[in-house]
Order: sequence, then C-alpha cells, then structure tokens
Amino acid sequence: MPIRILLFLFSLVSLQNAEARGVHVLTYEELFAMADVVVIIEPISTEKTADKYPDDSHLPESSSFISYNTTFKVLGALKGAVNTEKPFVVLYFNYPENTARANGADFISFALEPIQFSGIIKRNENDAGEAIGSLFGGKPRWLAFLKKRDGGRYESVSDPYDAAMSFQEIHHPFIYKLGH
Amino acid sequence: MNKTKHRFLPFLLLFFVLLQNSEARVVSSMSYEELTKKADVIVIIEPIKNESCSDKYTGQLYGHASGDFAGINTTFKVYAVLKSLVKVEEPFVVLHFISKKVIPYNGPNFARFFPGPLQFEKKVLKGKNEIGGITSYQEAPMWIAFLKKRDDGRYEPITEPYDSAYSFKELHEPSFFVIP
Repeated sequence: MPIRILLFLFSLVSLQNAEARGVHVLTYEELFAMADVVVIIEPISTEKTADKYPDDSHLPESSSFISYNTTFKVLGALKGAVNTEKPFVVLYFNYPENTARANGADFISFALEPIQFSGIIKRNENDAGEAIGSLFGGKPRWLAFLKKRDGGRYESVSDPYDAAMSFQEIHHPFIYKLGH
Repeated sequence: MNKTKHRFLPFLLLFFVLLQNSEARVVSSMSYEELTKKADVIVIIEPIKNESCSDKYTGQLYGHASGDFAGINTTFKVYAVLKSLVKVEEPFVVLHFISKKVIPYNGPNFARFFPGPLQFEKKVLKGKNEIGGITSYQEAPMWIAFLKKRDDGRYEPITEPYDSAYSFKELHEPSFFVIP
C-alpha cells in the first residue's frame, strides 16, 4: 500500500514538472502537401522587418519576437512555379537574443557565409573509438517547404513558432571511411 | 628584350611542371535545376539495408579496372515523392557501386549509405571561430535523391556511376548556432 501511495505522489509531482508543449511534427508528406512551393535555396541577405508576430499566437512574449526577411537564390523548384527574376524573400521570426530556449520556440536562422560542420559520425553513442566519417563544410543550402503570402513573400508551412520544421539543411554527402 | 625573356623563364618552367602534375579529371557536377529536370523521381529516403549484387560496373573507369568496383543494392524507406514520372513502388532499391580498394585522391565519388540511426557530433565554425556549441545528436540518415528508373524496377543515380554521390544530398535538421 505505501508503495502505491508513493507512486501516486510521484506521478503527481511528475505531472506538475512536465511542461513540454505538444508539437505536431509534420511528416515530409504533410510538408509537401501543405506547401505552395518546395524549393532548394541559398541565403543571400537578411534584414530586420517591422512585421508583427501573428496575433492568434496567444504567446505573452510574442511582442518581443524580431521579424526577419531573408532573400534567397533559388537553385531548384520541386513544387510550384517560382519566378527566379524576382527576389525570393522569406519572412520568419526569432527571439531578440537570437538563441534557443529550453522548451521554447523552434525558430530558424540562416547563416549567410560558409560554415564548417566539423565533427564525426558514429554508429551509436558507444562507438567512441571509431568514427565512420567526417562532416563536410560549405555554404548552407536548404530544402524549404513554404507557402506564399499575399505580399509576394514566403513563410514556413509549419507554425511560425516552429518554423525550423519547414527547413532542412542540405549537405553534400559526408566522407565515410571504407570498410564500414 | 633578352633580359625580359630570362625573367619569365623560371615562371614558364614552373607552368609546365604544374601542368604535368595537374591530373584532376573534369567533373561535371550538375546544378539542382539539371538534376531536377533529368530525374525520373526525386524522393526523400532513408537507407534500410545494403546488399552486394552481381551487377557489373559499366561506367567510366578513369584508369581503374572494372573489377575494382562492386555493385550494391541499397533498399530505402520512401518518406516523400517530390517528383515522379514513373510509378514509385516498394521495395525501393537503388543500384550503385563502391570501390573495393581505398579510394585515391581525385578518384570516384561513390555514394555510401549507412542505415541509422547514426550519432553525429557537430561543431559549427565560421572561419576559425566557433559560432555554436558542440552538438551531439542521433538522427536517421535522410537523403534527397535524384534518380532514374531502370528496366528491372530498381533505380540508379542520374549522374555517371563514377560520380553517383552527386545524385544524392544529405538532409539534416537545422544546425543550432548564433549568428555573430
């Protein structure tokens, strides 16, 4: 009996501490179906804008979010017609300090200059000694699932709070060692 | 005039020495536009298993013996079909080749696929400066692949088999970093 009570109390404490927000992770199929355009893009420039975070967010902190326009070069269009003659601009938001917060938003940011992804790839956590490859570096390119806004700009198909879900980094294949 | 000739002589000799040593083959890496246009199917896929096969290498050899290369059938799980001129059915098998020997500098660009999940350790650098902490995470190896369908129902890269890696790009969750 005492152990049951202990378990019950423990479950109540756990419930109180569990504040993780429920996020519906969109599958690639859903992202593709929801998107007006699916493009392979490379960021060129970023500037702050005066756009307000959508009012329906009900987030008390949302008034502090900074809005950005990033202009991209379109390298390929996999869905939707894209006029490559016009600047391809994506609107998104971030925290004022431009950092991640625990259990916070899954915002996105785009590096404009070459970035090196230095590191190792292992089969699992215990594969300490033998890396099977090394990471590649270069200018970041993205696979993006976007919807078109009325003004001609684009935005993530996922909620602006989870904008990163609509973007995947594209890397050239890593260098893997032979014999694995 | 004679003096001028003598001044350029060492440079001329250096030029010929460099010319003799430059054995880099010309690789026509396709743009995303070309890849998109030429592909029968563009898919987001995850490698499930690799199996040796008896297919003979029929591509460019660039001085290698055809026996140096071995055929591999990699079976993938299909997450999304971004373009399809043919019916995409499972099992989704891609024929590609690997080298039996250590790949020399300036050698083939063969794609290699490792079923996951894989453990990645990533450091984001801009020049020599770290702009993000070292992140360690487990991720399923996801690829975007530009392929053509073979008569036997399998798929193959649209680039030359010697440079199969150019038909595949790795997809990763956005890196965490702080833009300085």
